[in-house]
Amino acid sequence: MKKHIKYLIGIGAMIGVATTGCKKDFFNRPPANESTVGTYYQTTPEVQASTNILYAAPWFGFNGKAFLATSELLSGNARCYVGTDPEFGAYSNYTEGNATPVVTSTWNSLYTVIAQANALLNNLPTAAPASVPASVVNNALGEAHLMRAAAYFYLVRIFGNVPIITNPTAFVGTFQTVPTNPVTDIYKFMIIDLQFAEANCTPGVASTGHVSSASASGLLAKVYLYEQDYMDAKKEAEKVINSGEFGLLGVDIAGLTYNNLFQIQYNNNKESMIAMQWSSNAGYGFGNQIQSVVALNSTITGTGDGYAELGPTFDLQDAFKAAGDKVRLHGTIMLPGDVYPEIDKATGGYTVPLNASAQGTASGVKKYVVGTPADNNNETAFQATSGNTYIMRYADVYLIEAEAILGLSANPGQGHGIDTNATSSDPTALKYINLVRQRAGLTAKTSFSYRDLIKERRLEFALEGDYWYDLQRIDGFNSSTHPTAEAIIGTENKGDSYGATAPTYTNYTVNHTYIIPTDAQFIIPIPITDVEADPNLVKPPVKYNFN
Amino acid sequence: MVLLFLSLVMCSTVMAQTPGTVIKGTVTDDKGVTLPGATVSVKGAPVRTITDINGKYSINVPPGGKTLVFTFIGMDTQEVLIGTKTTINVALQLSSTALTDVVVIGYGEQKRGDVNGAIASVSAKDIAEIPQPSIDQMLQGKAAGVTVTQNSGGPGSATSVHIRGISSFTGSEPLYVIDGVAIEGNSQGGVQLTRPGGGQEETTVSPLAQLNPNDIESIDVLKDASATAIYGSRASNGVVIITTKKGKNGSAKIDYDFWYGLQSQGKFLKVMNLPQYATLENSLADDFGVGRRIEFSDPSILGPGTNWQNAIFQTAPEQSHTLSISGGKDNTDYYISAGYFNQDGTIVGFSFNRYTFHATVNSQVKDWFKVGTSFSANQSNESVGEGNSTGVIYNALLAAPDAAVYNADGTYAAPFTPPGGLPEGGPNPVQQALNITNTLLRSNVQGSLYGDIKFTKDLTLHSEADGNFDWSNAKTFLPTYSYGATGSVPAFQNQQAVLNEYNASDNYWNWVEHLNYNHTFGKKNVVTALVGHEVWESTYDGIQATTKGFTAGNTLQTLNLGTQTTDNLGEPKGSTSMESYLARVIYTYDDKYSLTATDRRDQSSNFAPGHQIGYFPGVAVSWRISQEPFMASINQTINNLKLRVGYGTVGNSNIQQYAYGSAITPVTTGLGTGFSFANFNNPNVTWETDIQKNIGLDFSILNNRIDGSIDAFDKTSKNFLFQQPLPAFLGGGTGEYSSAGVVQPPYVNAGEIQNKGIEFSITSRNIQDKDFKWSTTLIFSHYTNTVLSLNGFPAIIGSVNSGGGAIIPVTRTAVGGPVGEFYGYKIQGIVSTQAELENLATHPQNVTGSPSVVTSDRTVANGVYLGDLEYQGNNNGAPNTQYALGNPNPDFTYSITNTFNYQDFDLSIFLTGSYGGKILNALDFQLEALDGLYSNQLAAAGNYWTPSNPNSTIPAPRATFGNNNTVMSDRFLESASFLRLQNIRLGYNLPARYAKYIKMNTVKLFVSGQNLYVFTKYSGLDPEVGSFNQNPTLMNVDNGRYPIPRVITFGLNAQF
Repeated sequence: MKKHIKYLIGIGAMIGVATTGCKKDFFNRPPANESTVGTYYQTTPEVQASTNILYAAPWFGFNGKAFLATSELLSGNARCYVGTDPEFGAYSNYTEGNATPVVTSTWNSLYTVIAQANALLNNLPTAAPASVPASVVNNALGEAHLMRAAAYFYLVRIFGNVPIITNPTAFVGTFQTVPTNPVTDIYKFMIIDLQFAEANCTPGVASTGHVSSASASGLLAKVYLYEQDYMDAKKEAEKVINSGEFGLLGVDIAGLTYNNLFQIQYNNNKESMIAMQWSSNAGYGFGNQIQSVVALNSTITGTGDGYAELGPTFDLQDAFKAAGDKVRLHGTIMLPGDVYPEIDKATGGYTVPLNASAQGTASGVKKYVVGTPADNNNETAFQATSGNTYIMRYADVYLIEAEAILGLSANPGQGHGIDTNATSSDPTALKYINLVRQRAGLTAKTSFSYRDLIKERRLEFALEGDYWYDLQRIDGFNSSTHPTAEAIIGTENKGDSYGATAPTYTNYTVNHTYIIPTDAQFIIPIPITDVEADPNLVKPPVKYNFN
Repeated sequence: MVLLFLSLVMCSTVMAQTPGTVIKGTVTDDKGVTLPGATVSVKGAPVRTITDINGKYSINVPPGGKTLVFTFIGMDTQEVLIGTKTTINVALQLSSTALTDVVVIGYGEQKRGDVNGAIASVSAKDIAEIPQPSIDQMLQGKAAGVTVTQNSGGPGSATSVHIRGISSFTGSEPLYVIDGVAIEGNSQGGVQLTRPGGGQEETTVSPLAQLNPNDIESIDVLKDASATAIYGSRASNGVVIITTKKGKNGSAKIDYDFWYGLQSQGKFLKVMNLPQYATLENSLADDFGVGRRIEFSDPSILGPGTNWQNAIFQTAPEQSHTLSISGGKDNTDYYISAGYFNQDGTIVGFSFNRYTFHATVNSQVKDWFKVGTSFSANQSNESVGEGNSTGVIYNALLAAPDAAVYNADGTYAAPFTPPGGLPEGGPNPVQQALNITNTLLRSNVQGSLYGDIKFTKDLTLHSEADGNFDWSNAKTFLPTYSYGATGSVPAFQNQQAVLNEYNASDNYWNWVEHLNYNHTFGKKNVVTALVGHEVWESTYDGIQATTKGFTAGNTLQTLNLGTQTTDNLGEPKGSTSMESYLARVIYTYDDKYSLTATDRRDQSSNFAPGHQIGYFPGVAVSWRISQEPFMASINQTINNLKLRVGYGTVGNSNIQQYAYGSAITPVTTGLGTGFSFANFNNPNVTWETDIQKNIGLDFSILNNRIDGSIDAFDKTSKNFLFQQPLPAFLGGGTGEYSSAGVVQPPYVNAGEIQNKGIEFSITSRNIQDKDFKWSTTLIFSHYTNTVLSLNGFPAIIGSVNSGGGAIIPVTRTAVGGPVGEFYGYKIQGIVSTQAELENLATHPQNVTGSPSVVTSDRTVANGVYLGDLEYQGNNNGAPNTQYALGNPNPDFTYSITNTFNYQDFDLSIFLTGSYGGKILNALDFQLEALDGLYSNQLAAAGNYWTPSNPNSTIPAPRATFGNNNTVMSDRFLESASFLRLQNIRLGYNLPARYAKYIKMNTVKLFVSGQNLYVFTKYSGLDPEVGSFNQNPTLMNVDNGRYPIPRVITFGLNAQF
């Protein structure tokens, strides 16, 4: 026996190998800490939560500097020193080109939204079992269609012709040959998406943060308006108004103010139609970073950030003052001496220093600046707050309605902008434009010109990501020349100031700087990183196949 | 080696019994240290004995016995004529031929002279007294074909080890096998550093940083596939087998090894002092149309300002202690050791310390049964500052000299902040380095246990279980702070402290069984065969937690003290498994012809069913020419000549778990947890295959005075695994440094990369006198790396984050070129005449994406003005031609070691060098940019082009980042050639006769200087930069990398 023990042990060991020889399961290792396409979308809560992503992280690269640089620096609402911000300084003189970091962020981020929407649209219908009600599935698909359209709306306005992508896996092997599609096709595509969303999204849910059917109608109205399809724009705007889902804070909703729109505690208020939904908890990439970019200093944010990288131009400040608009001025721009009780509450509210001057503008940005963690129930952090960013709010619908009515009467013809002197005294149009003015504490108008309307839009949405696109379309849908816009921009002083001294700091001298973009500079070139991967992006667009 | 030793032990039972002459004596080594266990035999007679514990022997020489033969492992056999002597003392010399050294070949070992594959070995004595904290760093210049570069000079940082070039995009680091425990060189799983914020920083950690190099007996590098095929799919980047020390029979030895070193920074960059800076700021202000700063109105009256390099660099101590006890008795040997290592960084805020414990025991329990174990427990603690483009060096170089380090009251200073404005400069690098906690505590237990059952003389079963268990705690704490220049509002303020912790555990186990058969048929046919089975599993699980708002202050930094509503949690978790069958036959005929054939079948969980199994065969043959009769006449001249030819395939399965499918990843949103579609799937993804061919020649000539090896190889990887880059319009892309929500591109099998090369190592014993010895070793490696196919995919772009925020594409990996080739514009010259300007007006450049315009406004980013750069290949406003600008891979690398022994002194001089590669000085994107206010510049940049300085090659200042002058161009490329005086070491052996008085066997003292000087034309801090985060497409990109320090070390080795 003793002699054989080694054989027994040896054979035992080898039998051990044979019997434990790995079973199939040993090699089946799906992710241990996340679901897969095959295992998700199985219950109603899973399908409902599947759309959350479309409101958050994918927008991040657009939300911060891109959002502001494009709409505010290019439009002349804001200025910065060219040499002091490497990421978007070039936007202040229209030289952002195709390699400035923010140009890449804009493109990448908006296509990330589209990619997530496409993933949902392509996977959900086949993955969801019959036990999930069709209405739940369709609502989720509607949200995805809407968000995809929202991203394309920014893309087409910023970059012009871009590729329409619905099934990216089909192009994984052939991406280097994907062409762009013409602007008109992209508008057609967005309308199809939004019509789907309008038909399938649950009505009346926008206050949950998720878009509703009327949110889709609102965005559709705006798309039609850009296309100068005033009839449909008016029809869709009225759908929103008639839905009764939304209201203006301080007009339809008593007790609240314009300034409340941009505070975290009023996220998803009655005026919010489509908004990015941020969280400060997960830090950079998941929270709203706007405050860190624009706040005057780190006393306001309390989190070490607050870089004052943009300052409101003297031109914008003057526009508020000329209109006698104190309400919106206070909610948009911090002027020296202004008091904000909601910021830095621990010290009794924040008083803007008399010598405050972001980028030489003798002022600072207020909109989307929310204050310290203590002011906001700890919903702010370094480069991240939980404050929403509006993609669309209800005031826009009122102004769309007014513009559509004006457009129908002015009838400028396709491709031509409404004459800036064209006026309307249509009572419905006046009613809506005056509701917006009423909140701003301004007197009611008895008639308004197209120029008045654009000015109203500027003040209502200043530093909120809109004015540049108004200037871009003022000469007509998809116009390659921009004489009216260039004339307006030509009057906008983008200069800084110097010479302010104690004690009042009001004795500064304003430099006058006027920079007028060329027609070509109304479109930003597609980022070089993607052009290198796909040279067709800089070739003429190809008609999109809608079949 | 163990087997040989055992046979010695067993032989010792055969005692000499025939009466005859008794000879006595002592056997020592060449240093006079007595050798217990040396064999003494009588030539031609069956009589032998072994020396006792004191090296003494007594042998009965039978009548007719004329010669005594003394043998000892690792020593040259010595024969002594007895004559009339009755006492014979001998001093054995260390083996001068490497042929008898044992080489570990994977699941077994072989004598060096019998090896058929390409294997380079480094033994303990080659690396002894090189005071390096980590083994991978010691390999530098020690093995042909192995390129070792430190990715950072920081304490405990990772090193890139590339064997025969780069053949993969998913990591090109080899597999390390430490006493049977396999450790992937490519960082993976849980252990990594956390980062305080965005930016491009090194987060990979060194897989070997936790081992104490003093415990290493030998390192064998398996280079070609005929050698590595036994490791199959794990071997595509080569295999490095590390064997730890074992006890030797005889009395116990106590070894104490100590060194103390002082590290310092050897080179500083000439940046502007305050007067130069003020002058520059003034002219930039004029150029950019902003007002001059009042305090700079007369630069000549200003002092020198702050030297920020002096503020962050420091002379830093390091020390190492190792105590080991080893010995063997009654068929059992043991080695136990404990070590402590402590290193401060040459940059403030960096440090590393390590405790190591190691034990090895082997025992021949029965004549048929042997067991053994090797066990290590280590702990290391690493503290790092911020790195690279967001880091301390970067910020220190750009920090304005008008800002102080500290205010008069001792608080951190900052650049002046105009009221309500931005600070006139960046953060204080010293504050950054010292105030932010960024630590990594790693604990590791590693062990193996084996049993060998000997069924017959020829047949043995080896069973082994190995494990490697890592726990790590990475922690970043950003405290609250508020600092600024005296008299201005605080420039930098934070009221909300943030703690980020990442606790990870990595577990790896494997179990291997192999049957070994060894038999000699007839007298000339030797067969060694092995069949085996192996299975392993690797799992990781971590807890990631962030919290903010520490009302209790900055001192206590634990998660429970944060504000709970701000908590955020994550749990990275995953696993990989593999099962393998392996077989190997080695057949040798007459010591002349030899063949090694191996095959391995691997099944990996990283692929979808149907794609999991791969086969990896290898074959090598050798012909020992010197054994042929026709060589007999010259075998005094050519002692050994062996030709080796090998061919084999190995693989790679190193991709993310479940990369073949699409995951749905949870993501934080304002609406609650969101679910992000994570990646494009590819169910067909499967093994990468590497086909390797090798031909080699081993030789020893001139009475073994010169020996060496030459190998030529062709290593081609096919269908390699990589994440196919996709344009952002398909899956999204990184925006503002965040890639959350981006649908990651799929892993595909595509393309073909070839590495061809030649390498040799030659050792020459130039002088072999009794008192004076001089030997020289030359190691040379050359390879060319070529991408043969990307399967129709376009070039792969590597980009760097150049501080300030811009992401600049700098390399392009395309068919026909090497991996990570630099790519960009070529400079034609500076636009210095009106005629050139007019030419550009009609032929606009287009290097920033929009065609340049001729303008007099210097703030226009794409404007061209006198003093700007003009690039080659300008073609009427279409994008200008970009060119392949250079190869980061060197033409060749080399090292030369000269060792001198004079009596009790030894001196070694070790130089390593690299010739022909290019390096991207990415720091100069900022340091010589002249594109904005408030950041310092190289002093040389002040000499920029002006009409009155027309011969300057530095373009005139331009506002805006990423303007025409700062795009990627050959302006930023430099030669990476260097010759580094890596180590000079002078040692003194206290002669044994004196050592005895202090009760010691040996005492050795040494002084060594490392990295004493670098001969290079590179203008940056250090020409050797490695790969950024081990990314092969970002090789030789110097973006503020931590330079390798200069170290002066004093050491002591004492054996009791």
